[in-house]
Amino acid sequence: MRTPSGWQRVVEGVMARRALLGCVLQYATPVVIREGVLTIAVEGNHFHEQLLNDRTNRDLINQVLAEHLPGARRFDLRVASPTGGDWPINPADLSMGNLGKQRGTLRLLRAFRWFCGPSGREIVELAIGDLLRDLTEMQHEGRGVLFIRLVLFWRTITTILPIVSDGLARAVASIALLDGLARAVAKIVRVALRER
Amino acid sequence: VNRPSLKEFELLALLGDGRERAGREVAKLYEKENGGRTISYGTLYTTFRRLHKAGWVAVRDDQDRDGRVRYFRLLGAGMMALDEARRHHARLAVFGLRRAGS
Repeated sequence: MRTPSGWQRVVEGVMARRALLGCVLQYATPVVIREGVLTIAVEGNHFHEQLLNDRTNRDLINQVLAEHLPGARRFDLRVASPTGGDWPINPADLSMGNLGKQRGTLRLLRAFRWFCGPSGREIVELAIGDLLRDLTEMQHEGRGVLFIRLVLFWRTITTILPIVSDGLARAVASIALLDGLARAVAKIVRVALRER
Repeated sequence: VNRPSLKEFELLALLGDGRERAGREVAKLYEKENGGRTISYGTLYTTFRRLHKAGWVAVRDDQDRDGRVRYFRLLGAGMMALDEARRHHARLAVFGLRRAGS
């Protein structure tokens, strides 16, 4: 059985103590943790908003949050009306903006891209996309900033090394091929000269 | 049919059910099927590039919010190479068992 993510544990913890509140929370999306505040986005009606903003409910959620989600002391609510209108803050944009520091870890990979040939560059771009997806997933799991940075740094290094070694192997193979070609041409020339 | 390397064999085997899979999905599956042993994205994509060049794997590119996504699917030639590699590993396993028995 897989260990539930930090956010899942929060939802389960709240549900165990207050089922209705837990049910509403189940449909919330954790967006970002910044300075100990977890922003959660909920698409719901006025009732949902009232329920989540109720003082006692807030205290309960904050308590469970502190137990299960390292780095989060309290939550901040963003509600969107189901009948229309955008999120007060677009969760995607919010997470993008606040992930700037973690994304900075990928700067090394972006810089490395310029030292690669076309195929290496392609692989780096694919890896950057995957690392960004990893980043979002880790954030949704409620991982700490340091953890995320270390994981991204490690994955960046282990992405670069195989590309470098693959490039070197291909360079050596090209040299061997050129060497073979040169020898073949030399042989042909020698034979041609002898026939003269 | 050329025989794939061990890493190539592992990746081909993960596509063995014929389903098309994204690179990240393959990496996760690799970790699951290898008892927690991970594969880096660099190794994954460079190995898939070789498999594609050998004509064993088909590639399809797409794009989402985070950037490029590459999907991989096993081709007929890849299936043949996978079968050949499976037979080779089975022969090695039998040889190993015989040696252990004697």
